[in-house]
Amino acid sequence: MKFVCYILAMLMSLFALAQSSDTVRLDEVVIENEPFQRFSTGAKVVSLKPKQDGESLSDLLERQPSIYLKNYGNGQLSSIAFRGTSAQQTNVLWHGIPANYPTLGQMDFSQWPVWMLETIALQPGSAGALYGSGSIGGTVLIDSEPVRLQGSGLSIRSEFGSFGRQFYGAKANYSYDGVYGGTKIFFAEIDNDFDYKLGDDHFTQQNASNQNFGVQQTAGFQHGNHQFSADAVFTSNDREIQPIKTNPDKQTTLETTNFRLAANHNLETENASLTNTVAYLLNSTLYEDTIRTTARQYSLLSVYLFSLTKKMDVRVGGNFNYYLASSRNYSQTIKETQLAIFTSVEYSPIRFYKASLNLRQSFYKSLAPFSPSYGGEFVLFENKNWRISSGHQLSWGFRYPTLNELHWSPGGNPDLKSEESFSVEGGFSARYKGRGLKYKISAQAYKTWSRNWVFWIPSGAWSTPQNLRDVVVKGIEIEASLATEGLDLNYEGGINYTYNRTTNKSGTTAGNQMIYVPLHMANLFWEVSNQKWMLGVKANNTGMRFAAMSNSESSKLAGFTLVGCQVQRKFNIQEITSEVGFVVENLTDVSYENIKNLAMPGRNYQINISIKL
Amino acid sequence: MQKVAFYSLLLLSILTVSCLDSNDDPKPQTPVVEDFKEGVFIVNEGGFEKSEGSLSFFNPQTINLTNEAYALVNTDETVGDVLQSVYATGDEMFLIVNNDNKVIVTDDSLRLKRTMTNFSLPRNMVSYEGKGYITETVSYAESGRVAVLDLERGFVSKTIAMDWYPESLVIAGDHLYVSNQGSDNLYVVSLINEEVVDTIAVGASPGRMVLDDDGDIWVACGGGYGADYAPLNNGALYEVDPETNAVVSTVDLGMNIDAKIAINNEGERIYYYSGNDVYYVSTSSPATPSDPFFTVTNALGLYGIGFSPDDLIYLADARDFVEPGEVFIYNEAGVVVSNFTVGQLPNGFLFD
Repeated sequence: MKFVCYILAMLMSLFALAQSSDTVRLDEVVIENEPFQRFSTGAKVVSLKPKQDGESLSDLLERQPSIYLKNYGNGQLSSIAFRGTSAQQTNVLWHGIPANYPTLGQMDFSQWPVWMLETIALQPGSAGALYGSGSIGGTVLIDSEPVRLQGSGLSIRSEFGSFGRQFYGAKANYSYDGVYGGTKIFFAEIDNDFDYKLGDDHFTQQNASNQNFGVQQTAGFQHGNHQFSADAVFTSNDREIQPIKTNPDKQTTLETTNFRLAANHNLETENASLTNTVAYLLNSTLYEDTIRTTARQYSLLSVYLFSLTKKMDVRVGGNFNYYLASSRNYSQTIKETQLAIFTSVEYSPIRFYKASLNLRQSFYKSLAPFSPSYGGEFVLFENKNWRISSGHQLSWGFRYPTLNELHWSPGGNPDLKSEESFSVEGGFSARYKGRGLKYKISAQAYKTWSRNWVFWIPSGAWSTPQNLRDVVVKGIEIEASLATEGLDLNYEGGINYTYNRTTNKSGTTAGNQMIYVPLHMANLFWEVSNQKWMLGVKANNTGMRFAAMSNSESSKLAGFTLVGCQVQRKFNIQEITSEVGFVVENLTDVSYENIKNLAMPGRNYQINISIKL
Repeated sequence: MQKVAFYSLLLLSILTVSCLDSNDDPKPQTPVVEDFKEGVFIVNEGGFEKSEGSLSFFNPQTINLTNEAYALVNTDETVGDVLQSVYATGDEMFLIVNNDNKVIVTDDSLRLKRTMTNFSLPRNMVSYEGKGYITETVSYAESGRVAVLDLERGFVSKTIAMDWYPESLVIAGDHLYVSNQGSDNLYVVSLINEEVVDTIAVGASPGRMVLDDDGDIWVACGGGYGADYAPLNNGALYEVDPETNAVVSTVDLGMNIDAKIAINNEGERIYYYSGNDVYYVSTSSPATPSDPFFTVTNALGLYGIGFSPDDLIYLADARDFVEPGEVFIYNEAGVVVSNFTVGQLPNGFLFD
């Protein structure tokens, strides 16, 4: 039955029509050149912009076919796994600087609300390995382009929702004579006392509350063709780690503090640009008020981009990352240095073909994979309305072991090797832009051969990580989107479907699907709007996943479909724009699990109010 | 009726699969519900906080393996989070579910009778004259206790304070011996008045205890760790005479071991393992073995050991937390007899 649904969905997608999700609606932001998103010819890069100020990152991301959001409960640790790989195989870059927590090797996106970022882009596939470790699955780029705020403005927003959810945010932009600045602040909390079912009994979730606070200051100025900018972000999260359903009284606390500072210099000339960034990132956690783990990261990044000929652009660069980490779980202060140099060439020998070659060499102890990638794009057909193209890519990726995997005491294994991968991908996309009608259909197919996946194995009184598994991923992503207008209304919709077969190649379960990789995922959304009103509905389907490698009946986590809808109403009173919205999530009150044994909320509601001056 | 048909079908499919997996010639199908007699229960602990504890049952006569035995018998029931150990006495079985703080009581065919809650991280159990004794860690920040269970009426009648991390229990004479893993000692409890009457200092991290052919208690001491968790390689076997409560011999093993041991049916060979190497020490002429008796080369991480009534050594390989465990069976000559796949994180055995 499900299969029939997917086939139907795919058929529908062929008739449905489209607009890519890179809608830009925030008008106070100007994006200049893109030193990090270029040179990805042949691969898919998705630039996302929050449509509303308050849109949550998960709302923004759940529409994307390439990723699977792993939520360890409601408002809990939330990481991203691309294309059937693991969350640690996702690279996260902030201003081009690796920003995954170095201890865990992943990012908790629940602590990074959309309120605190301007742009986010996804680059599925391992070509992002050019920017560092962890890009086996894909790369998330946050605020990676130099952003220049213009004009002045003030916005405030509040949200009130089920289970004691509250959000208060304010942001201001100001500029004077080439000097500009922006300040943002937010506070959010949730009690998370939602009801859930276990067997035939009903329970109320306890010990899962969550508080977030953040403040961000950006500033910059332009002097001739030099641009200087700085971005400082502080966030703090105080959380009760949601207990499993069968042990609901357990209370465990985790406080997380992040501080990120990046200073950027950008020089633009007619044929070249030079970007230099220095950054300091601090990630500190306090577990159960007793175990403090602090990781500090000092980073440098330099990228020079120039046009060699009219048909050839070249990029050369390097990055340097130095990590200092201390914890009761490490026997001593950890010091790690990672260095990499890279170069890229983008060449368009003929009008209809464009190719890019990226080369990267890392230097890190003896673990230094060479990670090149090659991609190309044919434009098969192009006219005023249509653009039909086909892309292809080969890439090598890798992931360094995390500090915990290397140095956790007891059990850490300093002899771990990097996880490595080789991927091929190909796809096509057709885009139509006409009067009052835009649509897009695209499909990608990919295969990744990877080895040395790290798993922990019991070893006496504790466990120790080893390079244990080889894994092959093959998958497809199909997307269609449409934007049109009529009857004084704008319509926008999209549908996508993803298939990921992630096969373990090692041990007694060779041939089985890896854990927490849904074989099928599908999303659907439809929005109708005019100047004042916006009405949206969405449905996200996550297929069955296995929680254990046995792939046994009992390890199955049932698939689920979450339906949501929202209404937004805009009011314009002179210079003030205000917006009021009402959101319903999990409309059909489905009982589901993202991670085995962790309850998720049923139907819930939210009211939001924003005011923009 | 429908249920019986369902069970039969389910069992039939499991039997079919298990027979297909086996290297032995398929036996004629006997589609009767396994009565779980004359075989071995494999305790599959399951990953922490994953609630995937389960029981497997292996019948060496019929070579039938039944995984998820508890769920099979009790439809829609799961064991819970971290099945630490299983104990059988009379016609009842006790499934000690550590991280759910509960003990599931079943009949000897695994049918659920009742669930007892309000334990605090229960570990292991023994029984004596109508009473059960269950070690409880209580919490990792305080000393533990032993819960005394009235088996007749099915409730905890009292608790006896222990030292840190009470682990295993053994009864010798009318005394109960409890190894306090966090305090490097054994507590001796009089079973007459249920009070601690003696403390015996032993090596670092004492765990499992067995009785040898002379009735002496042997306790496995896993060994300690330095400030940075570097193993002190001081794992040891301590022999205690229950008549005098004196340590009568010590075997230094020169390495840290998993403090789980098994003794053969003659009570004269104690088997232990470190990594994937299996060793034994003779109780009559105790000496540190220089080389492993054998190595389970196909194992990833040994996590449990048992010795069967038919003189075979059972070893549990917990694999890597996500892959199901493997059981390896060796004979007393150190030759592998068979192996099969069980549930997640097998940690021990109960021979019926």
